[in-house]
Amino acid sequence: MAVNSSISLTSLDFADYKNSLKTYLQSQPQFADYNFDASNMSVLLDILSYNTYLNAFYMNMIGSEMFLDTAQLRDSVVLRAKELNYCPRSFRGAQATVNLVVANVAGNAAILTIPAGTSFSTRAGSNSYTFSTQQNIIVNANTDGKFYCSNVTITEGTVVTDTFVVLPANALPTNTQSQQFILSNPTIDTTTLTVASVENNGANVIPYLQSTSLLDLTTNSAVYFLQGADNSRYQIIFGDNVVGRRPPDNSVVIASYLATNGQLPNGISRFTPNSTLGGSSNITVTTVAPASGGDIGEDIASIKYNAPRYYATQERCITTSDYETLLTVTYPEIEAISVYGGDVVNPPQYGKVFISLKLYNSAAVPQSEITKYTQFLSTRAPLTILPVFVEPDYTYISVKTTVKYNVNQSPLQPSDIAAFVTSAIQNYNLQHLENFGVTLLYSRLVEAIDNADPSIISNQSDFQIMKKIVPQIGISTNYTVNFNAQLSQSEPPLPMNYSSTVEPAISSSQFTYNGLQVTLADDGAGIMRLVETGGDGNVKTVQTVGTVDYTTGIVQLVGFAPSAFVGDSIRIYAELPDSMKDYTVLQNVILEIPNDEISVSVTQVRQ
Amino acid sequence: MAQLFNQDKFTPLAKQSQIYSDFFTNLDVHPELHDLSRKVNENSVKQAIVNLINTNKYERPFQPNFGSNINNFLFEPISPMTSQAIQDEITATIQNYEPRVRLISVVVTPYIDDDAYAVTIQFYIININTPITLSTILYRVR
Repeated sequence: MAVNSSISLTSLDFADYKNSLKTYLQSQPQFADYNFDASNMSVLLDILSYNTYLNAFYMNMIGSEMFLDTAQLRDSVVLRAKELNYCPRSFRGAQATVNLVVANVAGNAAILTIPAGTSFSTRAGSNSYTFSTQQNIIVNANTDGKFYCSNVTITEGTVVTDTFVVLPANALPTNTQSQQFILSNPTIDTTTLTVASVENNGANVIPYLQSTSLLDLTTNSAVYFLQGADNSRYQIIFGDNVVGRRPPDNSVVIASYLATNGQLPNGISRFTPNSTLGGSSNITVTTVAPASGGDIGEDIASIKYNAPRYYATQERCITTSDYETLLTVTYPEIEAISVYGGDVVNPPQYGKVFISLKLYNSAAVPQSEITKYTQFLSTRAPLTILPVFVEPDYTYISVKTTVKYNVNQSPLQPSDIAAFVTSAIQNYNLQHLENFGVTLLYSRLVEAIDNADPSIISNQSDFQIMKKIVPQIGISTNYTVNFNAQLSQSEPPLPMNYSSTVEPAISSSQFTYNGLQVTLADDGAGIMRLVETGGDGNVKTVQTVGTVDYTTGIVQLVGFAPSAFVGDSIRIYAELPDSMKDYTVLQNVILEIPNDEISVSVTQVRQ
Repeated sequence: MAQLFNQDKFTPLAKQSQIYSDFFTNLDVHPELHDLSRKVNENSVKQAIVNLINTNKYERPFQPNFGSNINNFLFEPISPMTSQAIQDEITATIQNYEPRVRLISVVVTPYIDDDAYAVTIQFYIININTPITLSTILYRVR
């Protein structure tokens, strides 16, 4: 623009625009007051600069919202994801499993039908929730005249029905290309959505099923597609009578679904029926599995992460990341997942893919969930590949640290410093561990302890890896404990009797064996022993009980038959060599630092 | 023969140099040239001062401190204290935002019956020795 200046093309600043205009006017002789803020000329320059600024801002916003990576508005992110055929995950209603016993059914009926929509109420705090069955259940009478119905799944939510009249093309509002069927409630659980069209003044009711691809669709396929719409809502798309059937003009589309409260009802385990069954109010509800799996809709960050990966999978499970993406996108209750091929396990098991899951608020994965996941994968995985669900194998870290802090820098007591350090270790655990395929970085953990409080001068930290075994009491059994790492060994090799000040490289919590209070200890030469600490301060060997391979990290306990142990398990501790302090877990192993394995000592210094 | 230059042949007319130039607030058109009319020098500065004291703070985009708070004082009860406050505000505003001006005096006279103030500002334009007087009236509604 300016004759004697360069134009600042990349600037988005108001002042830069105005300066650019001033520079231009310096070469124009007619007006000279551009440089004085109170002049009329300056007002005009303000308007021009402001207009340029607004245009640049809007262009920047438009540019940002056009791409999945940079979009900030949820509606824009959903639109971008739609181009990748990705439908954001909706709210999920919490599900519980209950057993029902119905007595005193009227008329001594032989069959009882528990209709879909049978509701149960429950409360959590000041909030009340409604759970309901999703399908009809038919039960035969027992010999005692009662009806026993086991493992009934009930889902939280309120039934919402949206009704649309299909408009002929000439009845559409002006400037409207086609009719939109947008479901009204943004808290919809889309897995509960049922769609039907009522045609010929009610003579025909055509149920529509959800489809996610055009495969196998014909002109008469009664299917609908679901996609994200504005304001966190969802939209139904029907076919065009070429691929997929379109409800005829003037028919009525009825969409029914549950509007849920997301994760709030999770954990609820008491349910009261809201109505009678077969005319009987004598209904006993026993909870098999408390409510779980409830979740809010997918957030922006999650959509940005999942949409391109979902697109890459093409809804087929081929690579390990395909399995991980499809399962985590579909089932929000999955907190962590690890998938690996059978070719990498020892010994190799070709034709299998191993899946290990960790669920939110659940110590183990229920069999019902595994069945659900297996069914889901069966239509998406190659025919010859068998998905195998394996329990996660937990490996723990025991942390012992001694912290020095400067009392001249802090009014805190040692107990306060210990609490801060414990919290720092717990935070490290939350942020970096508690997952599959993670690595404990020794230096980062030490750094986290140092940063727990500014007054901390240094820390001497040591950690051991720990596995738990739950042995059968009094039954001689072989156990294999795999640390999956090279282990340190007691050096020099320990004699049969040694001082209790000597710490073996592999040890355990105390348990009872043949009436003696013993622990496990290695001898430094690959033999595992049972050792007893006597009153004289010496440790004596009771018997050998197995072997340890320090290279592979495998501890074998042979004919191991303790008679009692403290707590929920026997804990076996192993030390890593000094040169290999970082510890990585693979496959189905989850690494975490339990709270009861954090030991903090605090020393005060003045400097 | 010595060469005769143009400046030796003619005596140029004395013409006042145009240091400052601005256009009218209402964007008046020149009646003969049919181009935008201009205010120059003294008139340009006077117009700028009127603009300045009639602009409220936060009125200009990205210049929140530009202008004065005189509008607030106009709705206060008319009193010598309010007149003094307006005078101080005008003085400070001109000193802060009009670098072409060296103030001589600011006189604010209340018109109680009209709910208005008469303002008389005397000043020099920098590098011009002639004192200039600007009179304006501040109404509540303009």
